[in-house]
Amino acid sequence: MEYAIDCSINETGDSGTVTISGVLGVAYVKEARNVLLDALKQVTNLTVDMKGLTDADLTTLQLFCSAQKYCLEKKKKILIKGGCPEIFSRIMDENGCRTGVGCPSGQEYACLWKMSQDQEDSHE
Amino acid sequence: MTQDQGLEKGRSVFLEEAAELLSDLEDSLLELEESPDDKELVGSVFRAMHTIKGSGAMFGFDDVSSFTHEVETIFDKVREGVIPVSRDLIDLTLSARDQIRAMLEESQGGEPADADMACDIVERLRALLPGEQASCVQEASGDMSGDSGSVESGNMESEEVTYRIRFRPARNIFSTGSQPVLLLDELRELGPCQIIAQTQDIPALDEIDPELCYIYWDIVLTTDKGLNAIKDVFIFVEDDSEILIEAVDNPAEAGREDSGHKKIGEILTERGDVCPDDVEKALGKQKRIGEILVEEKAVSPGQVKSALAEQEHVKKICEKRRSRHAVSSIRVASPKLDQLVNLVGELVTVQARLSQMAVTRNDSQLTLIAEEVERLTSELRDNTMSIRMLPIGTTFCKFRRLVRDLSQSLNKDIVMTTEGAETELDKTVIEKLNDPLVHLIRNAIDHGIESPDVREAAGKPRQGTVHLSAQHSGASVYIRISDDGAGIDPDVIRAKAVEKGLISSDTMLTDKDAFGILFAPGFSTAKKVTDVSGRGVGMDVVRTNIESLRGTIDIESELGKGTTVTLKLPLTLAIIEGLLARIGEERYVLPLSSVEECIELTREDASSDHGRRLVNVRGEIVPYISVREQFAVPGEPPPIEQIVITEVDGHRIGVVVDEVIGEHQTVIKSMGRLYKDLKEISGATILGDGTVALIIDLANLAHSAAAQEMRIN
Repeated sequence: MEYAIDCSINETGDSGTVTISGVLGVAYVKEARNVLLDALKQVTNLTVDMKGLTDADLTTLQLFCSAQKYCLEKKKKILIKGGCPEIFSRIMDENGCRTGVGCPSGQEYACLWKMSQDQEDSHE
Repeated sequence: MTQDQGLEKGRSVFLEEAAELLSDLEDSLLELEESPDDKELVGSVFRAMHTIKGSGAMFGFDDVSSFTHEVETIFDKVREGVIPVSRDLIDLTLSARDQIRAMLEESQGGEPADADMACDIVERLRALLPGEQASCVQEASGDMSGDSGSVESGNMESEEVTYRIRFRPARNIFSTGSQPVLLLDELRELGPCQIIAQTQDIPALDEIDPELCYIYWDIVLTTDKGLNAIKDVFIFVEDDSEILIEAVDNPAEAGREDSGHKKIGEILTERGDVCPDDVEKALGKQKRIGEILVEEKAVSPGQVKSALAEQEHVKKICEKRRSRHAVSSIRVASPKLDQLVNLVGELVTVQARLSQMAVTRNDSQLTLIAEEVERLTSELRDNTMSIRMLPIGTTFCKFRRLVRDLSQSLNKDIVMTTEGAETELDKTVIEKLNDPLVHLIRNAIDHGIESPDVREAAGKPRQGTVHLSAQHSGASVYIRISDDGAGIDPDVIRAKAVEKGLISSDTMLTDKDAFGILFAPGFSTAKKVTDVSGRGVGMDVVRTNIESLRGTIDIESELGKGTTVTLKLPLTLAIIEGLLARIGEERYVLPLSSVEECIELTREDASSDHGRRLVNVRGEIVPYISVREQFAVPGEPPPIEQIVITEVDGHRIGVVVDEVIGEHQTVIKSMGRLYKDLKEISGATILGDGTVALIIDLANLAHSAAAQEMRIN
């Protein structure tokens, strides 16, 4: 499946959704960063829907960690819809990434992946 | 201990180890012949040679060391892929292995090793090298003294060392097409490792260039592959990356294991994540050092996590190593073990006396103590016996060489397969089993398995198989030697037996009975005598050996399909479960493993069979032997005697005794040379009251009763 990214902002302008599908790797990571940054500049709460994501790599993981860092600094909120996708769990395992390691200290839910998973679990 | 005594002790340990290494080496070479691409096997051959060379030089076996060095050098080339594994190479290395053994035997007062043979082997090994390499090897082997360093490095190679690795790739690594995950996978292949990605340097979204790599890795890896293997992983990225590799746990470093595990502060300081002053300050507070350092922003949580992972990893490796050392074996001289078994045997006898005394005196306190002693003795006995147990596989392995060499000399293509090599048997049984097994395997190869052309013509695969299997069954072990050869023709045996006057021409023999004739002294059906077998001096010796182990032997064969010889052996020779019986004033022990049931024999029953000594056991006619008559025990039998139904050589035979007393832990004592002709008695045991009971050899009792019967008739 071809890579595609789309952003929609709700009418009130305080929240939005970025939908990513296909393969997101180093080739499209710059574009994805720009879309995410634009969206986060506009809204307080951003949901990322990656159900259509078929593959990703370490650059993608790094991108979302970076987005989370930005949100923590700007008091915004980013959430992965449906919890941490299987693809990211695999990338984390393969690369020795652990939830919470490297995240800013002293903040609740500093880890995007842990936060997304916990919130998903609480919805269930 | 003086220096000389120490050296002597070291020499003796080396000789023992070298014998084991040579045995392993033979196994590895034979396996390598079947799997020439197995790098691990090439490595194990090299390591065996390497150790013999190094240790040999250390303990003054200079000739062994320099000869082994030559072979090792060749195998180094095999490791490097310069020389392929070939039949010639295996043949030569096996010869080299035999030569080393001969040299070691010479050093212990054995026959002098053939020095010309050693030179010949070395020359032929060198001839396997490509031209240029051969001259290099010759030059190198001229100076053995300069090689001591390689012995050390070789040892280092097999030691597991734990390394701390920090891998900080170049920021542009993604755009060069390199994927860090592939490097991490390569590290994982080297050994157990903990990988922690450090992500704290990833900038926020408005600052990041997402095509750059901001992540670095802390890795703790335990490997026996050496530092170079780790460096090789990073070979294509090392110019642009920051790669720090240091050993954090090396068993070769004296005292390291005793010094315990490094503290988190130490690890962080060593890694350069924090300065010693910060650690000192943090230690002054009553909190976990990691928490304090994170609070003070001296280190990131990721760095602490990574240090904790290293600490945990090293701890686990140390514990694993310690437990490995803890369960590792120690060498004990066999006589010491035999002495221990003898002492346990004495203890079992004394314990039986104590138990009997407690019963006689009806003293509850004494009974309590006797029961406790009985329990402890039983545990001690089982433990001691288990120490003497060895896997039969050690013996099986030896035969692979035999099969290989014999089939080569007879121009046959034969493979040996094994099953149940882990089955354990008493050390003494295993030692005494060697010769009978050699004989049976030789027979299978020489007479059983046909030449490849004959097999092909018969619709069989050209390659024949000799299969050795071992299997536990109760207190016995079954060892089977099977071949898929031509099988034994019972008619040929019958005809040969008639020709030799062993049976008359009108004697009706079942196939099983006919196979039994093969065990007659001097009997052979072989058309020609070879240097392998065919003289007819073997099978009777095989049976005698097996029966001396209180075992039995049985042959099954199907013409054209193959033959299976089954040996049934007791697990141990020192202590057996017996059935204690009384005849007159004497007590006898029958091996419980042969006992099936006990029935009564009244005088009426005995007189009704008109002296034929047959009893009807639920419709089956079973012959019986009166031990009283056989051993001429004085006195009258009781009105009701007991027949102990036993199984001997596949037949049911009754043994008549006055009274069955019950089960008895029988510590076997040999009877001494004066009684060596007393075939019906295999030993004696001391009972709880101090009297002696004789252990009946059921097979020989049956044979002598049958012979007596024939004489009378």
